[in-house]
Amino acid sequence: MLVTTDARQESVARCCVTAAAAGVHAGMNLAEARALCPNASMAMFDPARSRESMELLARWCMRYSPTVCIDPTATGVFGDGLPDGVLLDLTGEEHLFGTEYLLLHELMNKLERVRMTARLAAAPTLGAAWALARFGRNSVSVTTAANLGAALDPLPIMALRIDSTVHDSLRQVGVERIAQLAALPRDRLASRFGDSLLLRFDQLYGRASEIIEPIRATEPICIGRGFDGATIQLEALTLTVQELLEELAHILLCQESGVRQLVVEYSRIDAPAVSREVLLGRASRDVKHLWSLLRPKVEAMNLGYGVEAVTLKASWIEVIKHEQLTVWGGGNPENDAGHDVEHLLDTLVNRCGTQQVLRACAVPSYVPEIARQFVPLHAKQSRQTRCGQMSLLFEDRPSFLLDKPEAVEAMALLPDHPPARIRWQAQDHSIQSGVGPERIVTEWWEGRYSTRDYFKVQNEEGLWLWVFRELETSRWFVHGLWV
Amino acid sequence: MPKTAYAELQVTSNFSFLRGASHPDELVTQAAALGCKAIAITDLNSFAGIVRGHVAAKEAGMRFIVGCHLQVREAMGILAPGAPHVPPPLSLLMYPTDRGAYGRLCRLLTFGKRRAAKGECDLTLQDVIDHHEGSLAVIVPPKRVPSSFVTTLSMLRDVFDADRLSIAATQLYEAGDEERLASLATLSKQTGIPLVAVNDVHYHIPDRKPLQDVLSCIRLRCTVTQAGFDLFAHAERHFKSPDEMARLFGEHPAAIRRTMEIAERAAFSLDELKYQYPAEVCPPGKNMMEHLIDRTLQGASQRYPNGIPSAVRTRLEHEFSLIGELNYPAYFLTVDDIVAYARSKGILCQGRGAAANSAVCYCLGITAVDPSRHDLLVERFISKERNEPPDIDIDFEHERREEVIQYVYQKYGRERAALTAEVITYRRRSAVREVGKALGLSLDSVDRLAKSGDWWDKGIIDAAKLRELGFDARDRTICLTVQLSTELLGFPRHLSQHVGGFIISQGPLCESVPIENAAMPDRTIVEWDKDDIDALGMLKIDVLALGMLTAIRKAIDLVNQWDQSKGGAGALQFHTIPPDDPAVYEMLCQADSIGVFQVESRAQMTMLPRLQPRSYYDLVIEVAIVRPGPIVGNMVHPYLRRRNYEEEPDYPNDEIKAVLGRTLGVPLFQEQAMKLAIVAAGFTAGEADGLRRAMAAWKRKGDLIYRYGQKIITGMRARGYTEEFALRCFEQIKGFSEYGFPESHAASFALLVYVSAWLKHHHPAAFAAALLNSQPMGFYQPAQLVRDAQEHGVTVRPVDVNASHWDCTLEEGKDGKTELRLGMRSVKHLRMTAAERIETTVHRRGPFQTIIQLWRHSGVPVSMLRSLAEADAFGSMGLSRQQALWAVGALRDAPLPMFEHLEDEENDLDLPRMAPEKDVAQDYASVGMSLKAHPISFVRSRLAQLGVLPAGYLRNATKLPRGNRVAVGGLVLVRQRPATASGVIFMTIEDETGVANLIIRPKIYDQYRRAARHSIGLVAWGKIERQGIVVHVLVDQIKDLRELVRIANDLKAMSRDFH
Repeated sequence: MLVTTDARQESVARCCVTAAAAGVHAGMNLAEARALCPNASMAMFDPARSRESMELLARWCMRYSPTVCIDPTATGVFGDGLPDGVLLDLTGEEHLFGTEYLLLHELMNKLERVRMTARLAAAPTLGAAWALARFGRNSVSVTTAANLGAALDPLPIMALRIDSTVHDSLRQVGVERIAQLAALPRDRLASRFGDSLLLRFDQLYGRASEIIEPIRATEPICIGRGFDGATIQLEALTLTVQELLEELAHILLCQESGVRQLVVEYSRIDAPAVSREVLLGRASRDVKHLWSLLRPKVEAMNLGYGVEAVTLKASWIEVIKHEQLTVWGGGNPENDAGHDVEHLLDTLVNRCGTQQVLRACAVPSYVPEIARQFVPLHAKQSRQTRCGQMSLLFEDRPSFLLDKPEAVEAMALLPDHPPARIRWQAQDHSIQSGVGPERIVTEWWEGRYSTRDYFKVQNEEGLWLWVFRELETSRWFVHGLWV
Repeated sequence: MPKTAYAELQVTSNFSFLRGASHPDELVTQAAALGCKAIAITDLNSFAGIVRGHVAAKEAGMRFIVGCHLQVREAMGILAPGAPHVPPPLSLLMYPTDRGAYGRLCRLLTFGKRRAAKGECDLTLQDVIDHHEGSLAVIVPPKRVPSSFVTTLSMLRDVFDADRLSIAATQLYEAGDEERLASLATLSKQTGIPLVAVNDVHYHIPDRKPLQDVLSCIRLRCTVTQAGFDLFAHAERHFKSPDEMARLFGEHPAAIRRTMEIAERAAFSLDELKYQYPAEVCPPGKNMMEHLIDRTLQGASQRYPNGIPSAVRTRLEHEFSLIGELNYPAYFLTVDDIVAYARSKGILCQGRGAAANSAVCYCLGITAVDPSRHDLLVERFISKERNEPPDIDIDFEHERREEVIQYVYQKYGRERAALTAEVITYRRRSAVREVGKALGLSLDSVDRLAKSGDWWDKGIIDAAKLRELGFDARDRTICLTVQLSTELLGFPRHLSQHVGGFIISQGPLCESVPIENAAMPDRTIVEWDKDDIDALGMLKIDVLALGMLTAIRKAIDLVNQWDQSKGGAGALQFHTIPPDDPAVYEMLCQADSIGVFQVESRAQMTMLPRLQPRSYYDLVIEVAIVRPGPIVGNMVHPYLRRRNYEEEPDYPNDEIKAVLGRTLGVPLFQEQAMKLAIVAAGFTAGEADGLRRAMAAWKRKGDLIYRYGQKIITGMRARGYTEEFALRCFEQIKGFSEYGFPESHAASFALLVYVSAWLKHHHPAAFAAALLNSQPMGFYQPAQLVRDAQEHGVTVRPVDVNASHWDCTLEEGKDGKTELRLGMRSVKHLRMTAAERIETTVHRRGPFQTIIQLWRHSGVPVSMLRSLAEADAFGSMGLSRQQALWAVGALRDAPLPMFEHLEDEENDLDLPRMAPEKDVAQDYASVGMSLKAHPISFVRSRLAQLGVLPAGYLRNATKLPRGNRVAVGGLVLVRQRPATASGVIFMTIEDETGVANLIIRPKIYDQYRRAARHSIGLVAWGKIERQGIVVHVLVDQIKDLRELVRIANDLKAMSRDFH
C-alpha cells in the first residue's frame, strides 16, 4: 500500500490487487486498511515519482510508435489528477509486428515480464481505445471500424471521458450506457449537458478530431569524434577531448546552461569501452575549469590496443542563472574569489573521491561530542535541523575538543569547585584557577543519562583545560583544551 | 527544619501549558516538604493554576503567593539597542499585595488575552505600567545580560521604584553563571534595585526533566533529537531546599532574605475574593429573600390553583429558612430570571440537579417535577455542611439556547458574565500520540500504540499485548514512550469552553479572574474550571442544550395548531400534560419507544420490558439503571430480581434501609453512594463530597478512588459491617466512577421521558413531525422515525413542492385523520431560504403545473430546483424524478428575459426506463428514506432462496424458539461497541419487515471484519436469544449483502457507527 499523509490523518493512496481484494481502496484510512490487510507492506506515496515512472513507461513505449503521449485526460481512476494511461498512435506500425493484435500481445508480454498489470486496447479512434482499455470486457482487445459501434454500445457512460458532475446527472435521468445516450436527441443533450459531452461523444466515433501531443526526447548532450583508425596517441586524444569540450561549451552557451556531471568515454578496439566522469559542485561551462578536472582522468585512462572514438556526455545539465557583471569585480563572475574556492573543492573532490572531502556541521546540542558532525561536501543538505536560541558563547567551548573524554586522576576539595590538581597523560597539572561548573546532562532518550560538571581550568603553565566530573561516578575527565 | 527562611518565587506549573512539568499541588507539596516558607506559582501570562495551588497550600498549611509571569511584546533589545542575537521578550514576575492590585492584574491579563488569539496573550510594557499599582515586580534578566540592560532597569525603577522592584538572580549551573551573577550584583548596586534569589522551578523533582523536555518538544513540534538548545541543558529547575539555596547564594545572602520580604509583602490571598451575587435580579429597595418568597408564592398560586397543599407549604418554609440561612436567594433569583426570559420567548426549558428538585424551583417554574406528587430527594437539596453554592443545570431547546446565552451576556455585560473553562487534559491516547511523536517514533508506530488500548490496563503495561502489536517491550524508545505518557496523563493541555457553565458576578468579573476568548466567536471564558469556581464559592449556572426539548416544544405547537384549525382551544402545555397515563406506561413496557427521550436506545429497549415501568419513579430508575455505572457495578440484575419478587431485599440495619429502601437495597444513584459512605463508613459530608469528585475524575486522576476505597472499607468494618458487604459496597461505588447518574438529574429526565412518550402515544403524527423538524438529534435517523410513525398508523406523504413547507407539517387525510407531510428540510443540499420562497409562492398563487412556472414565479436558483428534482418532489405535477431532472436540466441561472421564449417542452421524450430499486436508492440518497419501498424488498425472493428470514418473523416465539439457528439480512442501521460490553458489537439491521438486533462477539467480528465493519448491508447467521419480547441473534457468521445479491450500486451506507 502506498500511503499519503495530510495534517489530520494517513490514508491509502494506491494499493496492489491483493490489498484491493481484501477490501482496501484508495482514500481509505490507513488504520482501517491495516486492519483489513495486516500483512501489507507500506511505503510513502510520491506523486512526483508516480508521474516520472509514467513518463518512463511512455518513453519505453516509443519502441512501438514514434508518437506516444501520456494520457492528458484528468479523470484518473484515483481522482487525484495523476495520469493513469499511455496513448500510442499505431497508424502504420502494425505491419512491423504482423497485426495490431500481435503487437498488443507482444507489448502485454513485455509488461507482464516486468510484473506490470495493464489493459490494452486498439481502436480506430483515440476515444474508443481509451474507453475499451478501461471498460471493455477483455484486457487486450482490438476493435475495427466495422464493429466499433457494437463494441461501444454496452460501455458505461463513464467511458466517455466526461467529468463526474455530467456523469452523475446523466445517470440520474437514467442514462447509463453509451447506447442509451446515442438514442437521445442531440439538441436537447447539448442544452442540458453542454457541448463537451457531444464533443467527447463524437470523438468516440471519429466524428470529431483529436490530436495527441507526443512526448519529445530530451536527451543528454552527447558529442563524439571517430578516428580514421585506432589511435594510441595521447596528444591526439587529449586534443580531441579539448575540442569536444569547446564544442560542448558552445552548445551549453546556446542553452544557457552548464554541466554538473561530465562523462568521457573511449571506444577501444578489441576491448570494452572505458569511461571516466567528473562531478561539479555547481553548473559550469568554463572550458578551462572543466579541462583541469578532466585532464588527470583522461591521462590515466587505459587506451588498450587503440581508441576508435571519443564521446563526451553531459549527463547532468543545469541552467546557469544570469548574473549581473560588476565593474569592479574583474568582470567575469566565474573568476572571482568565491569561484576559486569552488574550483579548488571541485578539484579535491574529483581527485580524492566524494567520501574523502568532508565539511563540519554544527549540531544543536549541549553535549559537546555530538555538537558537530562531518558530512561529505557534495552530500545533500541533511534534514533541516532546528536551531534554538543558542545561549552559549564562543569562549564557553574549547578550541580543541578530544574525540573522547579522557579519564584523569584528580584531586578535588569541595563540591561545585574545580579540582586542585589533575594527572593527565602521565603529567601532573596543578590547577591555579578555574571557572564553573557548567552542568550538562547527556541525552536521556539515548539511554545515556549522566550528569557532568564542566570546569574551565588553568594549570601552572597557563594552559587552559576543559575538565569535567561525572556526578554519578565522581570520576574526572579531560575533554578539551584552549590552544 | 532548614536553618534558612526562603520562599520560592518563580515557579512554572503545568498550567503554563507545555512548559511546566508538575501539577500545582505537586509543587506546593514538595515545597512544603523541603521546608520553604512560602511558594508562589507564576504561570506564563495566566492565573489558571493558582486556585489549585491555593487549595493545596491550605492543605499543606503553608503560605501561598498569588503571582504570574508576564511577557510583554517589547523585546529587551528595544530597550537596549545593539544587543547581540534576537533579544528575548521582557519578562516580569508580578505579585499583588492586596485585592485591588490582584483585580488590576486580572484586568491586565484579560486585556491582553481579549486582544490576542485564543490561548495567547498580547501585552505591551505600557499596559503593565498602567496596571502595576499595588503589585511587586521581579524582573527576569535575559541569560546574557546586555550592557544596556541598565537603561531597562532604571526605566522600570522609575515606574515601580526600587522598593517594589527586584532583579531575579539564579544559580543554575549554567555556563557563565558567576559572571552573570557578578554583573547583576553590580547592576543592583548601580540602580539600587535589590537582587532576589529564584530557582526558575519547572518541575517539583529532577526526575521530571525528561517529561519537561518532551513537553517542550510537543510545544515546538519537534523531536527530542531535533530540539537542541530549546531544551534545558540539565535537570536543575526543581525545588531546592532553603539551605541549598543559601549555599548557592553564599556570597549574596541579601538575595535570599529578599525572597522573604517579597513573600511577606505580597499578602494577597484568594480567600479575600468575596464573591458577590448580581443585584439586579431583585427590584431596588427590596430585600432579596422577600423578593424570592414573593416570586415563589406567586408561582405556587398558579401551580396549585386550589390552594397550596399543606405538605408543600411546610416544605417551602423549610427551604426558605435554609436558603435564607445560607444566603442563596440571589442564586435562585438569577436562575428564575433566566428561566423567565426563556419562557417569555417561548423557549422550553427545564432545570435539573439537586436544588432544581426543590419545591421552590417547582413553584418558580424552573422544573416541572412536582414535589408533592413525588416525595423524594429532599435530603441533598442543599448541603448545609459543605457551604457550597447549590447546583442547578438548566436545559434549553438546543436550537434556541444561543438566544439565552446572548441574553445573559446582554443583561450582565461581558465584564460580568463569562463561561467557565474546561481544562482539557491528556488522556491515554493523546498522551501516547504526542509523547511518541516527540521521541521520534514513526507515525505508523505511534498510531498503532495509540489506537489499541489493550496493552495498558490501569497503568500496568502488558508486555505480551505490546508484542502482539509488534513492539518490543524492552525497546528503549517504547519504554520511554509508555513511561512518559503515563506521567503525562491528566496534565492540562489547553483551556476549552465548558458546555454551558456561566459565571455571573456583581462587580466586573475580569477583576476576579482573567477572561479570555473562546474558540467560538462571541464567547469568552474565564481561566478557571468548575472545580476552581466551586473551591472559591462562586455562582455558576449551567445553560445547556437539549434536543428533546426542541422536539417537545415543536410537537406541542403542532398539536395546538392542529387543534385550533379544528376549532379547538389548542391549550396543550408542557406542564399540563396529564400525568400517570397507564396507556403510556403500557406502550413503554412493550419497548415501543423509538423517539422517546433517553429510553430509545437499544439497551434501554431491552431493559423496558424487564423493568416494566408503571409509575413516574420507575422511569427515574429506568433512566439511571442503563448506565455504565450500575452495569459495571453489577447492580442491574440484583435490582431486577428483587423487583420481580425473586429475591428479598436485605438490609443490614435500618440506617441502610433508609438510604437504599426505595431502590430495593441496591444503590443506583450517585446520592446513595455518598449517603452510604456517610451512614455506613462514617464519612463527613466534606469527605463524601471528595468521594463524589474522585468518582467523577477517576479516569483522570487514577488511584484517588482507591484511597477512598480503603477508607470506606475500614470505616464500615469499624462500624460492624461484614467485610463482604463493605467490599460489595465499594465495588458498587467504584462502578459509579465509570458513569454515576444522580437521582436529581434522573428525576428531571424521567419527566421528559414521560412527556415525550405521552406525545408519541397520543399524537404520533405530530410527535414524528417534531422529531424530524429537530434533527439532528436522538438515536435514530429520519428513515427509522418515519417508519415507526407508519407502523403506528400515521400516513406519511412524500416531499412535494406544491405541498411541503421547510418543516414537516400535518395534513388532513381523506378520512379526516392527520397525516404527516415531509418537509423540504429533508432534501439534501436544499437551502432553507429557497424552500421558504417556494412555500410562500405556492401559498400566494396556488399549486403550479410546470417547473418553469414555479421557477419564474419563485425565482429560486436552478441548483435548488435540481435538488428538489433529485428528491422526486414534483410528483404533484405528474413528473417522475427522471422527467423532473430532465426538465430542470434545461434551465440556467441567467436573467429571466433570456429564457422568456423557453416554453415547456412536452414530456414526450422516451427516457431510459429506470429500475424501481434505483429509484428507491435515489430516494435514499436525496431524502435519506423512501416511501416507495424498502431496498431489501427487491431482493427478497433471492434472499428467500438463500434461506434468509424476514426480520419480522423473529418475533414469532412459537415458530422460532430460543436456540434456533436463523439467517437474517438487511441494511445496517447502527453499529455500537459499548465500553461496558468487553468488545462485543451490537448491530441493528433493517429489512422491509422490521429490524433485527445482532450480537457479535469480538472473535466473530474480527473473522468477518470486512463485512461487519464496512458493508452497507449484511446477512447474518446465528442463534436466537429471547428474553421476554426482546429478541437477539447471537451471530456466528456474516456475509456482505452485496456479495450475495445484486442491490443498487447507488445505495450508500446509512448506518451510525460507534457513536
